[in-house]
Amino acid sequence: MATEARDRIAARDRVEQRRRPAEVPSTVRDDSEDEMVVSFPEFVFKEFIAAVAMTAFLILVSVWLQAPLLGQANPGMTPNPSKAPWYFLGLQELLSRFPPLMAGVAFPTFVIVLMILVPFLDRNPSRRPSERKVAIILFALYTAIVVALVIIGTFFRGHEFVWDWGWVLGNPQTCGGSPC
Amino acid sequence: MEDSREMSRRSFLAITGWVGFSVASAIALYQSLKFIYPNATYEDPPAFKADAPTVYAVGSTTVLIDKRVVINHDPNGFYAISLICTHLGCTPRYFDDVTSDLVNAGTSISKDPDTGQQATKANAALPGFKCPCHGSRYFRDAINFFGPAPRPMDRVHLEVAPDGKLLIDRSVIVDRAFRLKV
Amino acid sequence: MTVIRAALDEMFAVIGQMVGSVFRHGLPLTDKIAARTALTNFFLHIHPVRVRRSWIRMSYTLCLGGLSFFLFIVLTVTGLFLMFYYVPSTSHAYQDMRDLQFVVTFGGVIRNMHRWAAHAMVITVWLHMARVFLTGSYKKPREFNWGVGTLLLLITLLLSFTGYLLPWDQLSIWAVTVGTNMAKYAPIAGPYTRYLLIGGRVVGDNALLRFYVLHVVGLPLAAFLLMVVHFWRVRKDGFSGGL
Repeated sequence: MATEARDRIAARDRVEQRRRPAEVPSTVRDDSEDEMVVSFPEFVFKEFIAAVAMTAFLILVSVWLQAPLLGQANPGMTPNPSKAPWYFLGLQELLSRFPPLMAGVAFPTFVIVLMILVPFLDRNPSRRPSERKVAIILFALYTAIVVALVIIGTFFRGHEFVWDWGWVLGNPQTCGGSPC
Repeated sequence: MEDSREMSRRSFLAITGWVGFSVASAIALYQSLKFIYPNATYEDPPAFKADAPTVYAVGSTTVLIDKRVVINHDPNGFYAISLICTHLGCTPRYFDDVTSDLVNAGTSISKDPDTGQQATKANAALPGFKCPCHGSRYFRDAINFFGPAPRPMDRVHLEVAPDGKLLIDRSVIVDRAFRLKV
Repeated sequence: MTVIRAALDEMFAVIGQMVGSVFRHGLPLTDKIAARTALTNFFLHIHPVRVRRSWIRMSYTLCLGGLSFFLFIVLTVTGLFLMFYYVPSTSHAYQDMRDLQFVVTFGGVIRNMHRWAAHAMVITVWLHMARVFLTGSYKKPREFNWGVGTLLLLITLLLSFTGYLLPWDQLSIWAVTVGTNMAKYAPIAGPYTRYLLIGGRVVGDNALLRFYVLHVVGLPLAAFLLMVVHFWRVRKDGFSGGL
């Protein structure tokens, strides 16, 4: 509405006034006693070591482990079973149990929105694990469900996505009866 | 007095500016969406020709896997099924028996509404389709009876072309009563 | 002799000037030199010049954010290499993958690295989020950066998903058929969204091209921008430090 400079200055002053008894948020730890070090080379060196270790690990894995490549895409032949990438298997598991509008649209949207809102929903100012039992238990529960669904999808879903204790060992994926 | 008139002119310009900006943004958004929405796709055309009707015996189920279409010939006539699972679009496969494992496990299976057949302990095996993605099952006439599929597979239009062959149009969905009599 | 000596001296002086123009401050033997290097170097500028020891303790950060960023770089480089041989069309894509695996020298290793680094990145980003949650680091004043991080996790998953289609094998087409059919169930806009996403009614040439463009340009660009904001805010909102 009012875009006059003096109005804006007045508004800013009012905000400033309100903010004056500024207190440090209790979530910020008082670390003024900690030793100061230069980030270079101290910190950079740590990162460098981590990067080198990761590179070595990736090269070793890539030399020994072939990335999967099945037969050419064929719209007429769905492999049995057909699975999403592992990080989406939880979603696929839900899709096989609940209506798609709920499992495929409503549920993921809900989780993403909830995650973004976490800092505003968690009113507890403390960062000590002993004082945040509810938050940690909820997060552990969420993680446990996700991990369990991924493991189920990867190892215990056999042909036609039916539960199978020995799928990965005994019944490999087929395309119309023959290997893919 | 003069001050307030000056203010209103200012805010008028500001509002005009913001309205103009919003309209221009909306047009830009519309244009972007329209641009990436293809008007023509060079996919396999939806209509294609199969064999002459006489090739398909009464009571037969023929899967044309390249076209993802099934042609059924009932005593009442012909009808075609679009072989796309209504759950998430995988291609179901035809099996002579899609019911006996369920019957033996004690799951009750509804009666096939078109053929009137019912899978019982005595007669456990009915032909149909199984989807490999999430395990939906359909009777031979595309009615779903098990798994997450929300509705039967679509039935599509078919007619006899001037050259005497069956012409199937996958873009025209017909209702369940549709039969082509030859 | 003296002429040659003088010429050599001159040459060394020029080389010294060249090196000095790139590396302004020599080896970081003292804190003062190190700090000046960090202050004037563009790439080191991503860090504050001085940090408290508790902020960078490995047992606290586990270096998961840094590793995620590093994997993003690995994926950019290996992805660039793969682009030299890959054509995003249904008639070429699969053969190009076979070529990469069996014909191109080190093609298989580069492809494997791209694949496994993508899986690793999903894991490190997820673990980074878990670490930030468990240490309560998302709390005031870092609420906004947690939101940016959530979007980065989402983009990481979308990058993996779009990349999944590109080999054009049986795994690709069906994972994407199922994934994009999920969009169809969204109320009202669902069917249009799917048509827009795959550029047609079935997963074919248009879908491959669209996913390719998103995978190699659109999403990495978005990820890069969000990462810049993410790192900037880490510095501006302060490191979360120890507990």
